[in-house]
Amino acid sequence: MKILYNGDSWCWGKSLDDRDDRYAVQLAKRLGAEYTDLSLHGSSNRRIVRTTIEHGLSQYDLGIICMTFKNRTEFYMNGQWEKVNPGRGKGKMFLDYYANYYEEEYGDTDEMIYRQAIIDHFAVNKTDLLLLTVAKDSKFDYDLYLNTPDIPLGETLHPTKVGHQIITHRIYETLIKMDKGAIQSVETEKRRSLYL
Amino acid sequence: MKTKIYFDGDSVTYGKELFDLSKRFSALVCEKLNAEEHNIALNGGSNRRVMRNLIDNLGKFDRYVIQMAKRSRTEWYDEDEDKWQIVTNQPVKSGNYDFWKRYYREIYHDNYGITDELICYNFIRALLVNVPHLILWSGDYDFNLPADLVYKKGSFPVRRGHPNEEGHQMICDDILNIWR
Repeated sequence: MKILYNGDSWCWGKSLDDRDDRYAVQLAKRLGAEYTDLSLHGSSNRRIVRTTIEHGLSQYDLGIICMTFKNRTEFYMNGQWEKVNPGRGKGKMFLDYYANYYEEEYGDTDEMIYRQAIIDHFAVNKTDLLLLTVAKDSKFDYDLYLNTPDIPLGETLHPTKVGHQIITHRIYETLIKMDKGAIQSVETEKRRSLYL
Repeated sequence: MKTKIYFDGDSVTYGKELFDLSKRFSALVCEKLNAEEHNIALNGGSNRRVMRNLIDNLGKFDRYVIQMAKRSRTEWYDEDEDKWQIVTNQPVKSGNYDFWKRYYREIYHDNYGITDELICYNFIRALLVNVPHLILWSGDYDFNLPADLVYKKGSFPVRRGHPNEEGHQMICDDILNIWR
């Protein structure tokens, strides 16, 4: 089995002494699977969708994609992709963006668009998907919400090694429940049952 | 029951510069197919708007015709007005004029637009995978995605910058040819 991971710092393993302790590695070991990890700390849902589409799914049996906070985005500036989130530069970068452009309504529709884009991208490529999120206040359904109060976090508010172990176990259990063969279980009946 | 066809896009699909909107291609297609026209295209519309609308309208129509907009456009939610505002690279009507002027001068890059276009294209194809649909594009830059109908500048007769009645008839005929 080959797994494609994508996500933000939680998936990337930020603040771990050894990034091999992150859940992506631990789960792959537990499943005896190969993996590719496209995650990056500070990622936005836009980056997650962009890099997943650009990378392609043809060699994968399963995607484990962890969406992030709705208020993040990215811009292409000075020859590279710039991560836009409220914490950049100790909260002093992109103030203009958050003051003049970003609204909750925008964030909600961004999350809706990118979530749907991931779900459908995996569906049409007939690749199983486990869809996660680190967002606490999402209005949308996911297979698993990682950012729960019982996950131990370090100083930077990222999961500790034990936190990653708990997440690994939860993902494993969820995959067992989903029987790994089911296409994305979180899709709402009213929207997709007609077509997929 | 009449077939219901959904159309979305920007001013091309809206029928800007036509004196009579019943001559726009969406109306012509529906007239020919005896179908019900549902055209929610908007002058200055963006691909983000197209995606947002499509999620809300999935499952409600028998066929979908989506015109992808210029990739440099976006939209923002105006909390004061409680509505979505269009953003084009001539942001006169967008509100927040200074911000958007700076956005196009300092933040927006064509690589951003190209990936936005890629995301939108994949989004539409994936969302409508088992639904009869067409993606069309019209513009004045290189567009390399495999849309069903691609109209580069000069592909159809225009009145100022937008297709005239003859241009809309051409688009209508092209759509009907594909659906035949």
